[in-house]
Amino acid sequence: MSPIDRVLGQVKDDSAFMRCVSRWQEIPARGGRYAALPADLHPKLRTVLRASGVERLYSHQAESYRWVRSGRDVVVVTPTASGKTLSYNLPVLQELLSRPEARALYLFPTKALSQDQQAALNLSVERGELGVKVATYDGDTPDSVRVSARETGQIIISNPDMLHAGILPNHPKWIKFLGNLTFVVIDEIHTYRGVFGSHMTNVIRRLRRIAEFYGADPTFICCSATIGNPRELAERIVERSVELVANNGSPSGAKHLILYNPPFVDRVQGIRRGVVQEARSIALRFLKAGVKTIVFARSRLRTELIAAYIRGSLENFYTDDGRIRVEAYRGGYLPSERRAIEAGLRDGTVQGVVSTNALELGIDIGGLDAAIMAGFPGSISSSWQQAGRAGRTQHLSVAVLVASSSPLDQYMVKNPQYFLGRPPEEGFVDPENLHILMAHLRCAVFELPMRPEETYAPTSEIYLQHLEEGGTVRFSAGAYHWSDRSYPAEAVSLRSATSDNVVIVDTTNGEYAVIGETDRPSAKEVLFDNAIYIHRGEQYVVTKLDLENRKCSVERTDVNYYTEALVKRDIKVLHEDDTYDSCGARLVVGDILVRTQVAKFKKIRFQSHENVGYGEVSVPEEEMHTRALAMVFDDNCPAGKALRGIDPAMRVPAVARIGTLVKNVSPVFLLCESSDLRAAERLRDPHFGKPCLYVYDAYPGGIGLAEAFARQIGTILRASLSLVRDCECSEGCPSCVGPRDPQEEIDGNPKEAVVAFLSAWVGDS
Amino acid sequence: MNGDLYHRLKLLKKMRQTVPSRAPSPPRKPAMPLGVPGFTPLADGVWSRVLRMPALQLREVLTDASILFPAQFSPELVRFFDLETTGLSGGAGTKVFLAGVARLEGDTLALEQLLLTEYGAEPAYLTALAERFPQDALYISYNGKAFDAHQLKTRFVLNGRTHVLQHHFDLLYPARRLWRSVLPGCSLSELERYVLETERDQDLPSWEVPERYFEFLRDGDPAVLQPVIAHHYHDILSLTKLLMTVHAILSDPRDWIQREAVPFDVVQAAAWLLHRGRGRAEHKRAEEMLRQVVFHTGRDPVVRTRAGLLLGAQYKYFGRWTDAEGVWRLVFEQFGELKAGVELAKLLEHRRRDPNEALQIVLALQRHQRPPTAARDLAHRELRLRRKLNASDTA
Ligand SMILES: [Zn+2]
Repeated sequence: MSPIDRVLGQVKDDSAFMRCVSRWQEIPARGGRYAALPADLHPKLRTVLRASGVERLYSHQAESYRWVRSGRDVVVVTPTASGKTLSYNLPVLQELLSRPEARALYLFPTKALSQDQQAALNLSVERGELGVKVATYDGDTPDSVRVSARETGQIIISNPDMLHAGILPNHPKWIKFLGNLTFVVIDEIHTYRGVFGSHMTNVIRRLRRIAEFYGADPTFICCSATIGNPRELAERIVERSVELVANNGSPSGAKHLILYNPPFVDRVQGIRRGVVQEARSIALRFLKAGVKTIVFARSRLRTELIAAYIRGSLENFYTDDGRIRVEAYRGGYLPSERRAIEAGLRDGTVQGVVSTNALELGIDIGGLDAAIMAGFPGSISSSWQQAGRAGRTQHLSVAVLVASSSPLDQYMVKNPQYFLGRPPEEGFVDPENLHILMAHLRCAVFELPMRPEETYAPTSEIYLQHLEEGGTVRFSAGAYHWSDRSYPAEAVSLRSATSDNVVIVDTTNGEYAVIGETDRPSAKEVLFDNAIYIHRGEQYVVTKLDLENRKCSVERTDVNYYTEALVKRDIKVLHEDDTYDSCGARLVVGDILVRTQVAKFKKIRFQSHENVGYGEVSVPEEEMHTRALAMVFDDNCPAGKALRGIDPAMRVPAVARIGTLVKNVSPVFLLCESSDLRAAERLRDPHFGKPCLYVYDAYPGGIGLAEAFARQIGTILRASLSLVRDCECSEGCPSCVGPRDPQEEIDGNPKEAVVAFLSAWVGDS
Repeated sequence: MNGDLYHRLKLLKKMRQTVPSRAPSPPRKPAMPLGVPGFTPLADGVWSRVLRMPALQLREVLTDASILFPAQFSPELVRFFDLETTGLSGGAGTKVFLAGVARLEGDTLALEQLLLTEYGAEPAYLTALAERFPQDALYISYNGKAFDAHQLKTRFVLNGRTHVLQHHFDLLYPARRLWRSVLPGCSLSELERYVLETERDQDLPSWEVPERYFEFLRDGDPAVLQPVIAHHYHDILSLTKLLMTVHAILSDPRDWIQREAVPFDVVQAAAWLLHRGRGRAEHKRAEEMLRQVVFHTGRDPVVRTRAGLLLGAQYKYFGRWTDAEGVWRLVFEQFGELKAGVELAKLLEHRRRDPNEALQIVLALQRHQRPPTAARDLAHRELRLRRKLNASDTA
């Protein structure tokens, strides 16, 4: 009996533990599906594969190879440890061996990952003496290496930021590389969604435009984690039709998935035992039994905390092999430190690791036996990536999700079917976001004069004419030319929607460390003076918001409350794009102008969520144009009737709480965070003249959220209903519609009102 | 982007269907006549002006400039060049709009400036440049090797052509050697002020150059370009003067030291001669300069030390041990210089077979705080010398 069998047996006999288990699912082992090495495979490549023990391919690797060889763009859906890299390395190396002048660009979302990738590729390339030259080109590449990378690198490993600001604006230096560009590999394509994805589509447009200028038309090979719409997302990013390779042929051992909901400490307030403590005790149980374990925490701070707790508890514990070694792993560690931990995990000298999602992506750490998620990682696809860190081909493994009290976590542990079916989350982008589009249009004109007939974007000429009026471009001899001193890529960060950002600076103890960035409208709502700002699990208090200089100074703090702005929002509908009757209401998607005024904030105690005080805020009013979905409750539609069915005094609180609910639930269906969405209720909306609920994009110009939300609205509403109905509380709690708020001064029970309204609206089926 | 503008663009987008594919481009003010004195059109949007001036002395210098660049470049193959661009950060969107090249025609210098007055005329402009910038000439510039030449290459690439200036002599490098340690900075304008002793009446800050060009494109008034063209012209003239000055210093540095005309770094000048000079005469000249500095008690000890180390290394290279010993001894005894002391100790130990004196020098060197590696080396050396002395005592 293996250690893991033994410990699972013990756990099953532990009734206190089992009371918290909302689902224990055994996922049977799956045999591999294989294909022979392709007949046309270059002999050298065949030798390299054989030397590393690869005698045959997984079916998905062979399928990807076939599509790419026939010149098609492809997206390969690859769970953890499914031999992803071979899906693209094989067709790329095959081409490079027969046509050494061909070039490939590998794009990874983060720098750390691209370095790992190069290490892996170099290894195989050297071992087989393939003679293929691989070079990393990113912000850390020394000048002395850059020239040779450009001139001789057959595979360049980089990231979108470098492509955007370093390579494309200087493309004449890359003529040899770009002129022979045959493949573009986009790994982890599911990370390109929302703002980052909308930028990415534009960067790829620019890349294709420049490649075309040099006579190249590369094939795109994308890899995605398991998400709801991998093909659609890939097609939105590369803007061509893409073949989907979704049938994973790699084998996997049996896996136990345990959804664990910590016991109540205070049922009325909806408070459960903390994730940190629970994750620690489960991890200890596994580690002491000799099970190699990884714990995923949601912040850097929690990572360190859990690791320290575990180490403390293991201080006097010895096994036959001596002490159990447990390491913390997160961004911010030196590369050498991270490499050492990874190596320790591979060779077995490290038995346990506590990590942020840094270890979720494709870094090789060998197989572990148990994965514990301390809190829902934010999306089901992430959960599976993390769960996939446990499990080797032939062995039994276990994954435990420890839920927090947040609505999303609670929803997940109570609705395990989402875990077991196809992950529902959709990635979405909006490359036509005006801010993002204009930024990249400027870059594109800088890179190459743009002719009016070029179709960079559906309406790019209007924008070019606008830029011409402003004097940054100039029309001459049939094309728009860049006519400005600036280097436009410098002003555009792919990680934010506008360049109008406020930088958050940690000034604790006279330090000066930039810890984040946020757009100006959000800054006014979350970074006002004396606000509590939580960043990666650490608490800061805002000492000064300096909007003029786009800077917010914060200091570390340790108070027992958080802050919430009391926001007065005025919404004006600018344009209705689409209207349809669906899901029992009139749905309108369009442009809105949101005027926001923050005058006060609440201090709310952690855990109990009591209101413990108010503060004044003085920031100027903010205006934002964005995209919205308005749900209009016309008198005769089911939603309108349902609303009239509840106590008039409860109507506003009920609609407002549905706004909160859908915000909290939407990350189940859309690859976003609930803070990416805003909701606002109107009992009598001035534009529609009816009660209505707005759900809108928190980013200026919108990033496709409102549209994606509209497509999924039925599912989201039904999920909201089940979340609130299945909650153990009686009058609403932070895990569902939020606690009762004495400020509202209502007599009714908000939970009952919400359930009544929603079930009458979307039906009880 | 402010809210109003955003709104306007959105509305424009909605009305897209009714907008013609492109409104006829608004009539622009004619750029002709240009009104810049002396410029004549070469093609639509391409203008040129040639100014000639006597250059007897320059021709002499270029005829015998082997101390600066290989002799294969006859005076006729030498070009002085400088470009003005629409931005300073480089990249594909930065355009060249004013290119200047000066070359000898007999005993005169012909300085030609080529001006682009419309982006669309770039193909014709590059054709004109290609004729005037032969790929096999030697290009003399100030900081042009890294930036200007690259920018020119980029423009050709973007127009589907290949044109690479292969040979450069960038005056930045000798200028930095000669003046970095004695002047506040080494920009061309600083060299003009301190070395060439020419003062421009009014000069443009460099950020103003592209701004003036954009203004000219917008309004078509060539008057705003006048200062840019003058600035550019002076830059190229300064190049020729700077070349002559550098050449004069390197050809006969003693003369310059005696004249005390313009201060320069004598040690660096000698180093240039030693490294770049191709003849025995240049080496002798460098040695003589260094000797003058080392043995000149009135000079700055720091400079004397640097000169001494360079001269000692030179003697050592040619095995002139007596000369080397003299220099090292002086620098060590007068200034306590570590490297000179170590060299001296090595020489005494291995050449003069005098471990006793070598040990005395090592001990003297150890009396001061030394960097860790040097301290270790000295300790090691001391041990070995003591062992040698003991061995000879017992023998
Ligand atoms: Zn509840």
